[in-house]
Amino acid sequence: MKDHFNPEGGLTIRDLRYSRGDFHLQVDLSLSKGSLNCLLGPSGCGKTTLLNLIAGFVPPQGGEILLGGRDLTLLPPHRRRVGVVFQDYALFPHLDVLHNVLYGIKRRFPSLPAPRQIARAREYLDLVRLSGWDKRSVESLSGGEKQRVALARALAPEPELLLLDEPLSALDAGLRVSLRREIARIQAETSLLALYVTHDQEEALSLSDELFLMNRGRILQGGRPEEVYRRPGSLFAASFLGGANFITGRLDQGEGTFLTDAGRRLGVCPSPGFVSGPGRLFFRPEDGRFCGLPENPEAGDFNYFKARLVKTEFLGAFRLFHLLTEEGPVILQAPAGEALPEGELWFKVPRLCCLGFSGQD
Amino acid sequence: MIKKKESLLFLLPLLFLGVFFYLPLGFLFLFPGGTATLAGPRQIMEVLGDPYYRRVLGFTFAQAALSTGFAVLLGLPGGWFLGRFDFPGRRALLSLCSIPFVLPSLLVVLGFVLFFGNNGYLNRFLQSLTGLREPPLKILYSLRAVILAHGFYNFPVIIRCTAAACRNLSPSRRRAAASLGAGKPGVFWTVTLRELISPLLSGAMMVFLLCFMSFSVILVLGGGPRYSTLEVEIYRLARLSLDFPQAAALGFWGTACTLLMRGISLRLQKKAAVISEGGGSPPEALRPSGGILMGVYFFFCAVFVLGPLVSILVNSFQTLPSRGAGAAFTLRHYRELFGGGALGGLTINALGNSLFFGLATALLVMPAACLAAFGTAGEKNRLGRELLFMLPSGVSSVLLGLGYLRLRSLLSPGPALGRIFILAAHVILAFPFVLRHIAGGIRSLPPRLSEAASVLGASGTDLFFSVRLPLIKGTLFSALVFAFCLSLGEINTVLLLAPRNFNTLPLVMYRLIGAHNFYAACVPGVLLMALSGLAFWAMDKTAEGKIERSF
Repeated sequence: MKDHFNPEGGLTIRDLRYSRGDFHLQVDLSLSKGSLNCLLGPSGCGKTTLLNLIAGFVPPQGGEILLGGRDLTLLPPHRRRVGVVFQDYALFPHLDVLHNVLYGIKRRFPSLPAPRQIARAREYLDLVRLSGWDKRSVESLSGGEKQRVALARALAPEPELLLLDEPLSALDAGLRVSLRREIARIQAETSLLALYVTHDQEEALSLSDELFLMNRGRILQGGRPEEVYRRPGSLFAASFLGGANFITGRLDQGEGTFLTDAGRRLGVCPSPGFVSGPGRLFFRPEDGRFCGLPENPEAGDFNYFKARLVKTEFLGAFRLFHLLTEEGPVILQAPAGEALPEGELWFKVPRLCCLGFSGQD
Repeated sequence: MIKKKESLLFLLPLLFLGVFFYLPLGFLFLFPGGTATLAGPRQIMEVLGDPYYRRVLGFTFAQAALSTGFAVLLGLPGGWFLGRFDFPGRRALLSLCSIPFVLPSLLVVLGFVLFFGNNGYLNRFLQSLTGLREPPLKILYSLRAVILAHGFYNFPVIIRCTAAACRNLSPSRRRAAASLGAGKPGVFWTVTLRELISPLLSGAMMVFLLCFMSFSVILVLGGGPRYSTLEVEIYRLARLSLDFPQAAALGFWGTACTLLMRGISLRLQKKAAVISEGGGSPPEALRPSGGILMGVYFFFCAVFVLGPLVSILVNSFQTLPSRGAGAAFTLRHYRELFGGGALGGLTINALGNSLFFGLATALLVMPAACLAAFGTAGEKNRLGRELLFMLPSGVSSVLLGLGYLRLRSLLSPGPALGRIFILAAHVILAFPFVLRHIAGGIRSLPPRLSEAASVLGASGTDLFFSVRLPLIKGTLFSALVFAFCLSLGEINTVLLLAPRNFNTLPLVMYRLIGAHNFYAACVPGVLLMALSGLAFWAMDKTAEGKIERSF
């Protein structure tokens, strides 16, 4: 137990490779200690595979995994000191709640006297607010309670890294939100390095210190959630996370402008890998504001669009406006109470919010 | 590293199979003795050319098909009732339906004689009803008897399959069909029937196999060479004519047919399992009219299935003081358990042997099957190994016994050898079923649990004992009991291999039945019944006793 707690313990993954059929995973990833990180991606993108590789359930075909300076790559799962919370809980049906939590403690701290082991297990049951549930059989628990036990079980042996594999996806919406906050609280209390896999954007945005977007076996972008949301690094990132409007045209790198297919010149912020040629202009639905007829649509800090309202969608706190512009269809989001201007319908988007991406698919 | 060691463990059971299964059978086919030196292709083909053996083969299939058809007819309504409706006693009835898997066939034979015989309870009841002098039903020693006995003791299998299939019917598929414009008959033809047919066929195939390989029912109730099946014919050739090459050649065809059918059966089971995925119809409440129909159905089932078994119990307390006189109550047969009379203490000795062989079989087959099951479970390319392990399920017990006989004739026959061979035969015969049962249990373990345990620090034997073993405890126990039952009721190899003065309960029964001493035969019958009942009860207790999946 001498190097059990390593305060320098971050996770570093270098050139980790895994292939199966025509699925190829190749990942570089660095997580700083004590942080809660989310891995977000569409189903089949390889996020669970990455988790299985880190936990050691699947051997990689290349690369290395370092945790707090220890090389995990060749270690079997039981020696990695990595905790896993599974989507389907994977509680041991033949053990009661207490013994599920004790399972890992007994193996990580075998020399600890039994009463101390039990006391430790109870501490973790307290942490997930299941005090006094020791003798309950796990079959009798609800989904949310099972996931709390699973969390306590994963935390109890004091792992250096906690992996959570879509832990809330089997639960219903309300429970998901409250348990999500619980997980954030517990992670903050234990300041344990955690990697949380999900396909739920809201979960990822609200939980993460850092958010990583994954697609087709690669991590495309990582950073603070606001950063990833405001400055998507690729067409995929822009369209996968949050709502997106795209206008097709040509990018001009020298002038920093965008010539729409309809022949208008718009201001644009460059994105990584931005080159002159066919491209797309991107902005979020909430970035546009309705306005009256602009004095000079070509100048200023905004791009202006003339639009015709096709239909509106009421979503409670806000409304989605489906619009048709010269440049194609656009969706804007505005507070539900906001009234549309009289006369000609125009909207403006700050040029800073318009990102240009090379390529059109 | 651990993986490699684990996968080497399967070599041990393989070695055992090699010595006690592949070696004697190899010997039988390569050096069958007699004039031929090889029961090679020529002899094997010649056997088929003989019209007599062709007829035997044909009859084997015919009686199995007729028996299966009868069992399906009997079982379908029961399965429908138990699958569709909920009523008190439903669970008990369902679990009673797995009795055929543990009931020794010789008990069926004896009960059948006592109940359906010319002087049996059914005929006496009908005579007292009609006042006829002659018994109205002359069933025994005919094809009818064989089909009735097979049908009555296998239809519970059909009930279980049908009930499970009905329970798995998918209501949403039915509703989807209805919403797409199918009327009631349309829904039945296009959805319900498709969902029922595979599990039903799989159950029917199981029954067909049991009837195809059936031995004592044919031997006793068939009553003579007119109704001889492959199994019985092989036995006669080996035991009476001592024509080993011919017996081996016939055995070859029996094995080929059985293996083929087992293959079909496995495919059907897989298909049935796929179809039943995602289904699930909650049972409905039973209407009074349906309740009456069901009551009548199960009453007659009880009479015809339990009647023969109860007859054994009743007759064990009876004796015929003189020919023509009525039966009188007596405890004589039970007293003779301990010496004197027709039984002369045979039975208590046989009871000891049966218990010993049953327990020894169970205890020997478990480690072998466990090693084989765990050795193959994790492997991707396990087909070859599984085939090696499952081959004994295609070979009839009579043929296996024959192999041992042949081997014994080459060794110096000591009195112990026969017992060792009987034990080995029982272990080999139980092995594939126990293996399949355990392997099924292992496969049903969620792999996530092992992963969860491994990240919590468990590995190797710790992982095995802390997670996998506790989770398949029930399966292991029912496998153990199942092996005990298989050995308890087994008579084919005992008949072939028993040394002089060696008895088991079925063997004593068989001899007493052969001597038409039915009353005395009931005493070992009752003991056998009690043991099987106890085993059945224990298996039912563990809830995981879904033995039919292992067939």
